Amino acid sequence: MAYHTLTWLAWLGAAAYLALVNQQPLQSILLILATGTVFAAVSRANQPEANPGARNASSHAGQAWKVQGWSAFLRFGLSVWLVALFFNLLFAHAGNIVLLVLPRNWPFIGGPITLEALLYGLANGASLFAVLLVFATFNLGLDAHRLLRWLPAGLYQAGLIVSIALSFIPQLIASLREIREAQLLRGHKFRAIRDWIPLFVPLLTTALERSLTLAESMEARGFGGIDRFAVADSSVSPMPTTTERSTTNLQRGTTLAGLLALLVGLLWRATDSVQWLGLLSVALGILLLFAALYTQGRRLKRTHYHHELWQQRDTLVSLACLASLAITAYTQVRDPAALFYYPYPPYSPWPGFSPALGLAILLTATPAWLWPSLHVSYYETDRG
Amino acid sequence: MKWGQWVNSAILILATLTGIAAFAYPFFTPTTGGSPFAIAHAQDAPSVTLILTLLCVVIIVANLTSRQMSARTIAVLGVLSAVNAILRTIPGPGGFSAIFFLLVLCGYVYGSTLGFLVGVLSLLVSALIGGGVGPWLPYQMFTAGWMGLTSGWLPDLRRWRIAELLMLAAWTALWGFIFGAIMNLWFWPYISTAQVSPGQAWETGLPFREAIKRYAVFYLATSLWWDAWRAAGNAVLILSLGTPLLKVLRRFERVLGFAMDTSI
Repeated sequence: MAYHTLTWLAWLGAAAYLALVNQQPLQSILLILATGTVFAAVSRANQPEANPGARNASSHAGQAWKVQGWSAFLRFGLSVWLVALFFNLLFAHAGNIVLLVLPRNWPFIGGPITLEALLYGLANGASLFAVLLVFATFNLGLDAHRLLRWLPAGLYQAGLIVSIALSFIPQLIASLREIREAQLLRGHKFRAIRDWIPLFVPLLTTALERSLTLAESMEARGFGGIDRFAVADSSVSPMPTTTERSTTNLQRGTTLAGLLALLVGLLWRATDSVQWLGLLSVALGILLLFAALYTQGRRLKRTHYHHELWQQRDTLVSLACLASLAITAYTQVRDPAALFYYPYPPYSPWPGFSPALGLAILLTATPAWLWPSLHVSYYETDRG
Repeated sequence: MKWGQWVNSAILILATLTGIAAFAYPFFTPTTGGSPFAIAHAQDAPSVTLILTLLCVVIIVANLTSRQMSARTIAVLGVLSAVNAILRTIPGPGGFSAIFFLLVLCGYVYGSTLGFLVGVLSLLVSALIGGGVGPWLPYQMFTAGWMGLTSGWLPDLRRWRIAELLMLAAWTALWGFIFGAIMNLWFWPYISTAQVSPGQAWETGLPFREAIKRYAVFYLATSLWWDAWRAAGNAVLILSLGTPLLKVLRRFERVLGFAMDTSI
């Protein structure tokens, strides 16, 4: 993979933030183009023929279906956009600039068809499609296991559960197929919903039996030390030490305080006119919650078998993404009108364009500009 | 561990309330429309909502998994989430997906804590394999978690087979509708008056009862039939598959002998 996980996260932060706050159509279209370039680079890198000499060719072949799935998803998003545009054009009769007038006696769609309705449909769909495209690119560019490795240490058990589930899924699909074949060979026919019992019950049984095997092998490798929670008699199981207990209390106290501050801040901000006090309380709450997560993770010592490489292009892309994030945040605070778009009166129907935001959007395309493997793969195909 | 249980419940309830407050944040936009500040306020709503809801889910999960879990609990959680994620990806007729029935059964048999974790994690896993990671994911995780959690509150009716099945089926159908209503609420304030007829759209400064009425109309007009189809499908699945699946789950409760340490 081309970039470090943290680089991808920085990119997601910058691009998703822009996609979620921006409503101006010209900026949305530029964002779609910028993200689309990255999407194209990622999906080319995921094609198996793009890297014939790659060491992990098998894992790349496994990515090919993912590219197809995402392309289909984006095509679906595009069709939703078109349908929504069409509906908005026909049913919304607001606005001053009339393009044509349909006969009044037609039900629902009769009346003036306005330019504003057209523009609004286009703009709304463009910003929605930009969100879809950003998340599609992120899903494709980064596989789940690499993301899980960067979970905060306090969440390692949840991360472990998710990675167990992810690696179980291919096995489960295989056993689903096996059970189905076995039942078909016995002459079983899958017609009504009751016929699925001989499929579901063995599937669940196999899965739970496998979890028993997995747990035994984890215990055999020393996972979790003595399994004190499986022992019913608490006098046999070792009690938690006092330091462990005090850390737990500290962490729970911090969590409660943080949640309280967050809740009070949100309600405050919603109801009162003194906005910054509520904002302060929200910020304090977030800070406390992160502190609680940190305390929980501090007890654990983490070792990594495989280290990811941080390269020069990671530095460049991350800096570009952080700059983009800063520009967007600054614009949102100082000039929120640059992000807002509503074509119906009393606002102007003509979309605006802010050069600073344009720069912020272009900066999110840097992963594609600095993409490493493209040149290599061209070279290799030329040779072959 | 009575005290710890109280603290866990307090954290869960507070985090849920905060999640709801964050969820309802777009509805609190100031009524003084037109000023640039109102625009800014309306605009940071999607990202604020998203980040805070995600944080709340993360905090609950972190708290529930803060003690060292046994290998068996971890393995069972992983496997059940995987099965549930697969069930979600099996396409059914008419946008139907079978995500609810196994989740309800797990919560009912194994208790609230495990139900919550299976709900949250199976939605996460199915998003990771099916590529459904997006701004809607934190809400789905929250709602599915609560579905598993509340299923643990149901009375244990294992002596009356028929009553047990009927109760679980009705419960699943009910949650099918609740899930749909909450998921629609996510994007409802962003739909403008231009897209749906005026009696169904959200406007700033609407009185609470009027807002509820409009949302009910919107729900009836758009998503009721989808949700009804999904709820009925999952209820039928419970009725036809419930008895054997409950038997399997109960057998493995004994075989694996796992127990959740943190309880809510």
